[in-house]
Amino acid sequence: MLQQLVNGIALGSVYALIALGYTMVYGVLRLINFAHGDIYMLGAFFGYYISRWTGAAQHASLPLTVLVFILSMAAAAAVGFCIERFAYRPLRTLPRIASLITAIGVSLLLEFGGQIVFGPNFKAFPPLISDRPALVIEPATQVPAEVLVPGAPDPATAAAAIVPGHWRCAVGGKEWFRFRAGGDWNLVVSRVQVIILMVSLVLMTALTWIVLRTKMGRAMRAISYDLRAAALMGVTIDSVIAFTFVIGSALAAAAGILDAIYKPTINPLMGVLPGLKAFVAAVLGGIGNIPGAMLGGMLMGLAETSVVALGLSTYRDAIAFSILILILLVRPRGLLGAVSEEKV
Amino acid sequence: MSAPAGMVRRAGVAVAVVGLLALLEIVLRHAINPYIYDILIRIGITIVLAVSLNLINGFTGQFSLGHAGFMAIGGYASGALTYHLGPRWIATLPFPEPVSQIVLFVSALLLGAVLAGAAGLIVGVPSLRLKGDYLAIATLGFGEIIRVMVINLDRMVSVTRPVAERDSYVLIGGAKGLSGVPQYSNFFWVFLAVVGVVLMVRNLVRSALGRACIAVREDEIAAAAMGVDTTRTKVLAFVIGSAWAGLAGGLHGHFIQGLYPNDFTFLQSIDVVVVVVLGGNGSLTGSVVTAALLRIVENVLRTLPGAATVFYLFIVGGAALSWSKSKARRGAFFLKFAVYLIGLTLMLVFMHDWLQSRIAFLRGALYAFILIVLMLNRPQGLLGRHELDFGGLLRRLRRTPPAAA
Amino acid sequence: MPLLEMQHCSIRFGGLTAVSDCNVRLEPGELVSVIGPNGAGKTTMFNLVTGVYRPTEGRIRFEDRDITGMAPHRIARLGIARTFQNIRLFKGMSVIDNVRTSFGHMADYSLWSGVLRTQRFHRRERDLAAEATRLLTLLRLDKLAREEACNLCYGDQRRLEIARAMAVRPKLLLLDEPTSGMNPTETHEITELVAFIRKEFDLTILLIEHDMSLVMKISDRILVLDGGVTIAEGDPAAIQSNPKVIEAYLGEPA
Repeated sequence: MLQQLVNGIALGSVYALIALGYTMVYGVLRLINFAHGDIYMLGAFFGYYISRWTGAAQHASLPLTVLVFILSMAAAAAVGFCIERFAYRPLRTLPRIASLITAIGVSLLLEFGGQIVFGPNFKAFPPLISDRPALVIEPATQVPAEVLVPGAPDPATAAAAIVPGHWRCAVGGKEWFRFRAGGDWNLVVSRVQVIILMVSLVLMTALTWIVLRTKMGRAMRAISYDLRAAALMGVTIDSVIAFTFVIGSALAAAAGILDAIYKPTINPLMGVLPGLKAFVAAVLGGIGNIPGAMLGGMLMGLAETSVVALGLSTYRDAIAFSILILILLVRPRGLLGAVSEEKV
Repeated sequence: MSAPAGMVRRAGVAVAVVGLLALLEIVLRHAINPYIYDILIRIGITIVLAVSLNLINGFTGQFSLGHAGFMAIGGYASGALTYHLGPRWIATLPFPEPVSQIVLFVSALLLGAVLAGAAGLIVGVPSLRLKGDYLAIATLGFGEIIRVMVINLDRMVSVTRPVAERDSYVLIGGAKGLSGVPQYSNFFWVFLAVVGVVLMVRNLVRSALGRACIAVREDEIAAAAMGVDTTRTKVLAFVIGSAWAGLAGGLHGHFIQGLYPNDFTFLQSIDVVVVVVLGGNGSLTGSVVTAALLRIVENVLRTLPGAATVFYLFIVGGAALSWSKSKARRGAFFLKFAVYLIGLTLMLVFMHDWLQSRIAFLRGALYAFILIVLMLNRPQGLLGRHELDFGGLLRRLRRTPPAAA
Repeated sequence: MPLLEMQHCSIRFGGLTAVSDCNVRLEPGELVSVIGPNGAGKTTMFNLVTGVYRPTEGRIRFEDRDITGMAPHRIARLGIARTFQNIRLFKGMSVIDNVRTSFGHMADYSLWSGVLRTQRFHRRERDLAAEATRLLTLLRLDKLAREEACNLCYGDQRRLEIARAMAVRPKLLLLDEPTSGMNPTETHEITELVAFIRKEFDLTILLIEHDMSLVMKISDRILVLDGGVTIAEGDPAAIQSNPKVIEAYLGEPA
């Protein structure tokens, strides 16, 4: 159960990072960027090629890994910028259906293009982060002398006997503490999962800081309330929207690399399902609402792992749509979203 | 014209149309290439889907992205009927076999349409409260849920059967699909449906309901203030559209002789939306023309022999893109065009074999690229909200003076 | 029996009270104007009567029937029609179709009649077209019947809004700033038009206006709103000399 929680949080962090891109773009443009999931895929592929090019694939090290991240995120950000500039900006004044169809076209272009350029097969992603467990909770095997099982013939064999209810928690291979508790406390938290969580937290904190504390962030928020008013107040709409896409794409790329290290395979169509689920996450949290996207992502991740844990893994994708329908029927503005009233 | 005379005249026209279609069916099936016959059927089914979606998206201004789901319901319902009950019906009905087959087929199609319409009601009533993007997502979600239910229905129902039969139980085929559906669809039935849907939608649009739909599209609040029951209007359009989608699904299943979940995915919904938008959201003739054009283009693309042809079509698209942007600056246009040409030619020369091996994806990428180019250059679609005025076209053609004046 | 009654109606949007304790009695045949500074809650009051908003408090009665919170289309069918401050025509439709939309619930033929184009359908459509043309002629829009509504000039659009509202066959007509943006000639035309339709169709009219000369000329009574509160009510002469009204419009005396 604890394991599912941890897995859910790891998965949820990935969804949250992707969901942030969806929610920010919707906030400023009221556009559902169908191509966003494919940016996540591009991020993973950029990471793949860049880590081979920089040698990180062969000899992983922290500085090299960070370099891979930065370069891939930058490349994905550039792609996001180009998409906005050439495919979405010309249609900004037109009915949104046109932008939506274009977004679908861009998504298909990236997917087919990826299959052409990268090849349709699955590739193994280089292990930039070793898959060793970071934190382990397992049944304790060595028991202190005073709790020796009575009647045991030999201290040595007794020492190897597992005592139910005793658990030990080891961090980085070394024992940290022991405790007694009923129930199943088996847990393996891998280094990758820790890194996923840490990187996500860092990025989300950085994003929150940008949105709340910088001029650019204020401009983004202004545009999301009223684009024309913001323009009249001197906000350079084009730059701010471009910036939104750049940041969103960078986050999606990071998610792509993190997920690629976790899985660890990549393929050109890997963005379809996570993109859809992250989108549901954004709607769940309240589309256009940044903390909502983070919350929604976490909840989606937890929901998915719970479904798998319950043995219903064939429904793991259907759960996303069910949540979507539920939230749209019960509370369309999402958990943290605000109701938008139309002035009559 | 007195009432009986009008009715007789209309009955006469109906008989003539049916007769013409029957004649065409016989002629086409025997006289032309079966491959082209195939394409005609597909065009017909696409027209039914596009026109019915246009009623919802174009005329009533809603945004349904789940049309394939209703197609699935209609398809599977009708297919299951003919598959499971077909032989028994044909044996017990007192008509000669061809007539029994017709009765069976029409009943199956109607069942599919009715069930799809009912599903439209169930989906529509809660969803149509939502606006714009939210409605789109909701219908998308419902479409996918329908698909998941279709895949899992057999397994769910099989628990009511004795244990020994459970694994081999087939109701609608699950993930593998239902193969062995008799091929009852032909040019006659498909284009009878085409005539039906076009007539129905055209007549509806020019009636009180049509005005209500367009009013809802233009301004829902004003429409309500003028006495239009907006919810009823939206739900009606949705149900009618979904029912026709179900009919199309039935026609489809009885044409390819099978029903497979992968034929009813989100991508199929998008396909229909694309036809409607490219033809013009709210243009009936636009949907008809674009459905035909798109299917033809698709088939032409599929038969493209090599990467070269596909590639040079990219150039055409790119040229179209730069052309409308720089009508005044011809010099810049030709420069861009030249760069495209040279660059793509170089790629072709050095990477031909590699590209050829990926030809399937190349075609897909081309489809996507053309979509983007079309949206950027003509977002209102071919005809926008207007209809093709055949009368006006004919008049203009007749007015052109003879060549050797 | 009053035609329309608003009893202690208030509406709050979050922390903002747009209308507070509104009490109105409209007798049949009256023309009452609602005036006040921008943002006073006048259009919100209209929205309450037509069912766009549901009042947080209070009740609304029309012809002695409680219509509080009723759906807008049902209220329209009971006989209350309105125009909008920012013209809300059906832009993609022709002029005559804009008017025929209001006839919708009176079409009196079934869906199937429409699809199959029965005799009944043709007969009813002919009648409705004739009705619509009659209304358009009355408002001097008949020449533009086939024109797309978006192509009309501003004055014609305003008149079309009124025609469309008239087509609902209302007993009570709510006009929201019908002369907004018009020059004196056009304003005069609209004034005459309003007086004419009031008599011709035996209407009760509630009018929001900023043009004081128009208001003083045709109103039986005037209601003054400021910040959601009714600060004065009375006949034109009384309102003109009411100090609170003067203060609301011009501020405190120096």
